[in-house]
Amino acid sequence: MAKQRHSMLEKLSFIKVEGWMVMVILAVGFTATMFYGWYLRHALMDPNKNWATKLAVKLCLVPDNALKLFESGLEFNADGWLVQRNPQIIDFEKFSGFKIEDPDFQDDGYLLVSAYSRENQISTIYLYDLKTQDLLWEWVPDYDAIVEMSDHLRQSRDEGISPGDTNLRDNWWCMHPYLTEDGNILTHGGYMSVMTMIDPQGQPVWTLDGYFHHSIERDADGNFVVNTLEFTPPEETETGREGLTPKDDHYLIVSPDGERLEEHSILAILERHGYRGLLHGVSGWENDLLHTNDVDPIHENDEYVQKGDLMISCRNISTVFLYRPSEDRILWLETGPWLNQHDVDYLGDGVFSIYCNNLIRGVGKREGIHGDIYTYDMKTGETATPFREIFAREEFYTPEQGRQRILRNGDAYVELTNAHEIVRISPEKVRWRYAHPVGEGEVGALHWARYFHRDELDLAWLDRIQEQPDASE
Amino acid sequence: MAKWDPEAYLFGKIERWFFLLTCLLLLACGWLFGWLVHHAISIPEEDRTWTDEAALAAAELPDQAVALLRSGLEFDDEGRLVQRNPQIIDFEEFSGLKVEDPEFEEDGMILVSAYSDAHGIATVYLYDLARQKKIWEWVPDHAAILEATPSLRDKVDRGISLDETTDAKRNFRSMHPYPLEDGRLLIHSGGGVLAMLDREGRPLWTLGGKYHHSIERMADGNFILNKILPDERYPFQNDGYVIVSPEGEVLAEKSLTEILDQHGYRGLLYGVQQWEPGFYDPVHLNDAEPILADDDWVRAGDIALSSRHLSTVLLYRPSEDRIVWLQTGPWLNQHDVDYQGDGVFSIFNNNAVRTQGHFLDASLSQRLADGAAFSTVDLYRMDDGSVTPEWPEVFRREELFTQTQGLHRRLENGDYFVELQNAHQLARVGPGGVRWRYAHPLSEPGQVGMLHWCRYFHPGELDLSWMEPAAGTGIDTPEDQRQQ
Repeated sequence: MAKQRHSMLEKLSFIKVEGWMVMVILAVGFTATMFYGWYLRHALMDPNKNWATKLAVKLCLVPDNALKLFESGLEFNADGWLVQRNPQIIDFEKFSGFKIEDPDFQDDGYLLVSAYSRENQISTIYLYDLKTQDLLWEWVPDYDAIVEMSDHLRQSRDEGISPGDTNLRDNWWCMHPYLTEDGNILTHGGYMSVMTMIDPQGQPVWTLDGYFHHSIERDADGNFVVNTLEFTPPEETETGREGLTPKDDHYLIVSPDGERLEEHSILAILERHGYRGLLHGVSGWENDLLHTNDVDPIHENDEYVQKGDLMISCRNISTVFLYRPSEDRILWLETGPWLNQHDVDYLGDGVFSIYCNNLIRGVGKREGIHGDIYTYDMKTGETATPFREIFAREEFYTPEQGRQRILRNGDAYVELTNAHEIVRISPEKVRWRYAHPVGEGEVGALHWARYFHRDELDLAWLDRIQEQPDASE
Repeated sequence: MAKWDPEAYLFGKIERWFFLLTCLLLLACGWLFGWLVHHAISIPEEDRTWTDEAALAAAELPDQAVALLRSGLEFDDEGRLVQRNPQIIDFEEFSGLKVEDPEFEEDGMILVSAYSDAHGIATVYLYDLARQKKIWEWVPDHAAILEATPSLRDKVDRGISLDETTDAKRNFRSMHPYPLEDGRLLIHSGGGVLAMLDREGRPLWTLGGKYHHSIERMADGNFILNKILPDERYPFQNDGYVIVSPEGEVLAEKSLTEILDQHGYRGLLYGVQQWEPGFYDPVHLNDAEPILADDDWVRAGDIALSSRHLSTVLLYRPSEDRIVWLQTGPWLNQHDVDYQGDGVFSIFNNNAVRTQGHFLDASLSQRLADGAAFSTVDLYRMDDGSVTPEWPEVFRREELFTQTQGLHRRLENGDYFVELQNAHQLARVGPGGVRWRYAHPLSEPGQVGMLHWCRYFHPGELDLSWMEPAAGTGIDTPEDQRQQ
């Protein structure tokens, strides 16, 4: 048999073909290569890529991807397939877990971290007591149960089609988890994904299908304000191409029971209020005109703002504005000085804080670059950067994503998402750092953690669970 | 010596492993080529190596072949067979002046800058609209301009080709000509050299550099121009304005990037665009328009600036280093801001949406306009901040649109003179419609010359006493006209 196989291989290899065939192949190959290069150049410069142009681009990236695969290594996924190591596992040698840098400082807050867990093979949510650095609770989303409850995910599974990248278990980010008073967590997959409320055991209480993304916040009425978008898949547009139908960012008000209460287009708000130039005139056309990454409600009236006003951050136009839905009015809008910012918060007395990524999109990391936290005073229109010195000294930088919160003592909590660490800083020094451990020299990708002062969290739900005989071990 | 036998090569036997290896190598080459093209496009132009440039050049070959096929061939000045000059446009609609409102009595003149196939360069001429005749023509003496410009002369002497620049004769645009009271004419090449010509087209002085877009004159008689300024602080096309005396002395330079950066517009400058590989032109200044007299709203010496890539118009006061007013939109990728007095500015709103890198693709502009794209002239009032487009229904109905470039002037009776550069025509537009159109005729029927920013003059606005009888040219001077 072996001899027969040998002779077959020999036959296939050494059988002779005529020279003209080689010449034809050379001519065809040369023409095909030239055509491919020409098509690829057009594909790369075309903002409205269709399936063919996307395929051309993917094909040329095969060597790069092979290199990445080689560099990142392989692992078995939840279904037992040998796949590229999950990109949410990051090589990170600096430290792991908590690293206290100011031992004289006693932090008595809590930290709610969303990070990838190798053990659970999904992003998991952790509640830490910063006083002791103890893990108080862990929410492991039951992905299969979420799929079962979501019409979109279940149908995709049953029909054997992809539910979208960020709806896949491997990529599910458990983004910006919001902890409710009964121990439930509202979260979504990260970008254009399904949203779900899970209970302390990770079981879904409800799910909402849609294209949810970025921040999850709660308004003064107890409803949630979330980012979503209206999106027509390219294959369903008239042209079969994306780009001519922009992603239309919306904010959605959702009740604690998962009922959709109100939905409004942010694109329409800006168009309606005279910002046509900012939308359509300052860049080459982008499918993702706004890239809204935060809609944060004002909770109380004061001299400058009203309960129900919304702070809205649009990354791709470096613009933050305060919108009053009750009057359909933009109270203020500023484009920069922050660049491609995330996370706007109200500090009271007409002052806002904003995380400045300092990113110039399309330009790589610049020498000496660092992020920043801006404050903006709507009374005077002035900005300040109280943490600039420490950001510069520590080279704190995350080109994308990122969170900030200015704390009661004037410190700031910052998530440097792309740098895979969370820090508490004063204007002068770092208090502590956190990176989520998943293995030796490896950490898990972070997905928008939250800091709580001690009196901000009611953990009665945790006491109740822990009193139960079968409380989670 | 063995005789070469093609049959032996064609029908000679080659082992299949060699054949398969050839196929594999071809596949690998294809991949490598694709990877190189991707790499070359993904990095800034200045970082490209010769391999990147070679890969891009190879990927562009089919396009160049098609362009060559479409445009045809011609001999250039040096006798080389080259692609037909892209400044020669196939245009069948009309040629010369086309009157659309015969009831309207036109008595003005236009100063046309357009490519001339007879001279092989963009020439400038004064055209009497009433008599439909050229009354003077400046043919730039290109060889003398090169000779008078040290940086260009040096390139020529060293054998460096100007073909890819607007300083080459066939690309020279004679842009936005400004006529002086003694027959001199200030022009630039449309991205290169600035030249003051005498009435015969000979250079009186030149300034090397990257001059572009508008040329305007200030109240003190100096000129204000747009130029790309070398500045290491800004690793991209750093646009600014330059003030030049009528004798060619550079009096002042100021970077618009710096003005925006230092006056609180960092977000607009760096935060609203996906910087395109090889296309770092975040501002794209296209007009610097001086304010000539004080009033309640502006001061003489203020400068109105138009930044196309930010869809932003601003009024800058150099005396106080202050931005008096800045507005982004509703105009989109506009050109040409003019002060009308009493706090009112008029702006040529291209109403154009840019695709990434493809300048002339109007498909997105059409989509935004819900069908046929159209430009407008917008009036901005400083007193209440309102913006009103003038007769948008006329501009929409007549499809008056230019994706890039474009000019306007509000005329004494309220009409507008517009240049629709991409549509290769000038037009006078009234509230009811188009009065006339003009396209620059070339020697071949069905062809017109590309326009390069023309001007309209009312009677009496130009002092033409410098003109001498143009014997034998067939061109009448105003004196001839009066006698007739």
